[in-house]
Amino acid sequence: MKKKWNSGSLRAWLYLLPAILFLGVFMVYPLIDVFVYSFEEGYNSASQTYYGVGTYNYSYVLHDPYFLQAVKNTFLLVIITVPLSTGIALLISVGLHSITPLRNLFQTVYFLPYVTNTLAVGLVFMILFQKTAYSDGFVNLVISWFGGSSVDFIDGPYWAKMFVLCFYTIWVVMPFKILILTSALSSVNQEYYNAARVDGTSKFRIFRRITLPMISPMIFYLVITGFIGAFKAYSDAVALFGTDLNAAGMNTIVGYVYDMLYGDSGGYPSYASAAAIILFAIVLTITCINLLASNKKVHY
Amino acid sequence: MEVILQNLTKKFPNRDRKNRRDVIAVNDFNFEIPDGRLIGLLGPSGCGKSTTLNLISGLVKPTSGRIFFGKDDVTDLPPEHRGIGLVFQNYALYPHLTVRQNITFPLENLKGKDKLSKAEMLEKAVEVAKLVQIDELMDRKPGELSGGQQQRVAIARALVKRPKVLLLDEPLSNLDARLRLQTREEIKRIQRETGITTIFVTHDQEEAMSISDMIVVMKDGVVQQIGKPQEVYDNPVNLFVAKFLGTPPVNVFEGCVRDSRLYIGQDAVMEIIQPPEAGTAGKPDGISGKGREAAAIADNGTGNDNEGRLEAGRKIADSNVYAAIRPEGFRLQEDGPLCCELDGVEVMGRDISVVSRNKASLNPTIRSIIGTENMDRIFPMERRNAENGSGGEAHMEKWSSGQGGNEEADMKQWAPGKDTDRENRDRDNIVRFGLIPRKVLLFDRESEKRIYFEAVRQGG
Repeated sequence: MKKKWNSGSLRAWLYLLPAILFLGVFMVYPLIDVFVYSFEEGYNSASQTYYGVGTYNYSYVLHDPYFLQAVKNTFLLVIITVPLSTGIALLISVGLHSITPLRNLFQTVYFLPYVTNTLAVGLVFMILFQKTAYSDGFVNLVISWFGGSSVDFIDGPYWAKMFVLCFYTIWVVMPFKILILTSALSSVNQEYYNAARVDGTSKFRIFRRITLPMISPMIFYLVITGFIGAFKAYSDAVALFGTDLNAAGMNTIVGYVYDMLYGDSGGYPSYASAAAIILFAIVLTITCINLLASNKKVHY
Repeated sequence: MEVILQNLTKKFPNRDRKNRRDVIAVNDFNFEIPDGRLIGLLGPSGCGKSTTLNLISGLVKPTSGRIFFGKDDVTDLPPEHRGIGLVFQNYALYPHLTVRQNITFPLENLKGKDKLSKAEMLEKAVEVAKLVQIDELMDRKPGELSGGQQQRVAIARALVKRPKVLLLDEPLSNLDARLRLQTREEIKRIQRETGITTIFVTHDQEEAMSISDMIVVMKDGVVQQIGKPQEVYDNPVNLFVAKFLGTPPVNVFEGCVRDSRLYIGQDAVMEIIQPPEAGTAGKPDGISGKGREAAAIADNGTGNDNEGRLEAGRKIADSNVYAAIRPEGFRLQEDGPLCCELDGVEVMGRDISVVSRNKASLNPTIRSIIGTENMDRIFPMERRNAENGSGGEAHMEKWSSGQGGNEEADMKQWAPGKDTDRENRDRDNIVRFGLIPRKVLLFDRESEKRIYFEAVRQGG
């Protein structure tokens, strides 16, 4: 028995060693470290000292209005953008899949935002939505055509800013989802559709009873990664509202962590760690719920 | 419901940029499928048989030609209005639905006055499931079923709407050998019990021959021959059909007809004359698919009429031919006219298969099936071969030396003489066959069309 372990398992572990080493050093160790920092009160990274150990960091973060605002923003962003972007991406993919001429052209067009830089796109969005002393911005122009009153989407009311952030996020995450869904759709065996056609199944029923279940694993994948991605949103908000997100009231949890580390009010790695661990817990919980739900809904 | 195909043609645009000509998948297909029969569409892959099936199903629109179900022209009808059941090669069972849901799926699509209640649907599903004997598996998912069970579910789903025509695309290709045998009988039984006109596609001639009422042999989109399986086997119109049907395959030799004698290599194996009325029925013109087919139909049963009256002047013109001899057309005969080198004997239980070689043969080896009662005659030779060292080398030697005269000398004797070692070995390898004229088919060397003949009875 012992000999077996030596010859077989040892070699296996040896082969795994490089991967384990890298994962350990760059993934597991930092995670544990962050976890440790989050319980060390007033940790100073320069002197590597702290006052004591306890849960004060958590209590501070959870009572910080900026953090609560960030949590609210993040949750709103997640709840609005993930279902919407997945739904719209599904519609567009099904549309793309059902046309033959110009399909490649449209696919390229829809995929372009993916290769475009986030900050550049954010700039364009800002120009479209921002109301300055000189112009109302393109979107306000359109609103005024329809008789609405202009709104400042960048420095204006909270709902307007949230709208722009959601709109922007959906727009940015869409290409990837479309890409995944179109390939999922085209990997569904044509025979299923032929079989359904022979049976006289209506288009809507084919979609609901065949297409949707067939691509459900991919949809599920998109929802999970969408949730995780949206919870970790930060650069989108920066692109639209600048680096002082707390002032704009549009901070996200990751933004809060960043600010706590490096921002103008930064230099609090303990608070940052606590916030990061809270985010980790939230994402983990949501993902577990997703997994549990998917076991019932996702087929094979 | 009879299915009538009129001049059915399907062309696909060529994907090849350099070759702009359309690919003709089905070329001028004419066939009247009688009601309540089981029809096998047979051909090598790419011959257009699946396209034909898809044309009948309506999934593919024909380039030209019409399709009738009974008196109704269904050419322009979409598949769902044709009243067909289609079983796909990979079954296309919805993997996320249970067997019951799969079977009721087509029923749930019914609208208006045909709409069924849940109870009625379940009743129908159970009824059809019983027919294909899967009523025990109704709550399983397709992934939890064996290949044969999936096949039955697919058939049940196709049958649940009581289609007028049942179409099966390669129904047995995904099953293992034993299951294939079982399932093909099952298909035959279901077809007989329901009485639904059934068309199935296969590349396996054995499958087609065993259960079809009629088979259609296709090649490159053109129908070669239509007929009852036995007729097509006995009376192929051309070399392709002869080669395609039968396991082991027919043995093809290069031969020639000289002075009303059929020669294979150096051996004059048979004296032949033209059959009666050969001029009309015997020569398939075969320029168009239609003509070929007509010839095939007209010809069934006549070509084999061996009760010939000998008449002068019914001479077959000298020509180069292919002589195709069915494996069962050989008889072991000590003074038989066809002389081959023995390669080995395979015992198959019911009969034995003699493997031999002949220089005129197009196949690398000649395979002849003879009854086990010949065991004693063939086995001593076999054993001697084994003792004489590796048979393969001996053949190579002989092949390379290739002296016609020497062979001639060998032919005179069956038993080994007391000559030198080498001659001894050569002689031991010789096996002589008599031929059963009915199992010998002649084809023109150029056109590969059948040449009908009648054997002149003689001693051999």
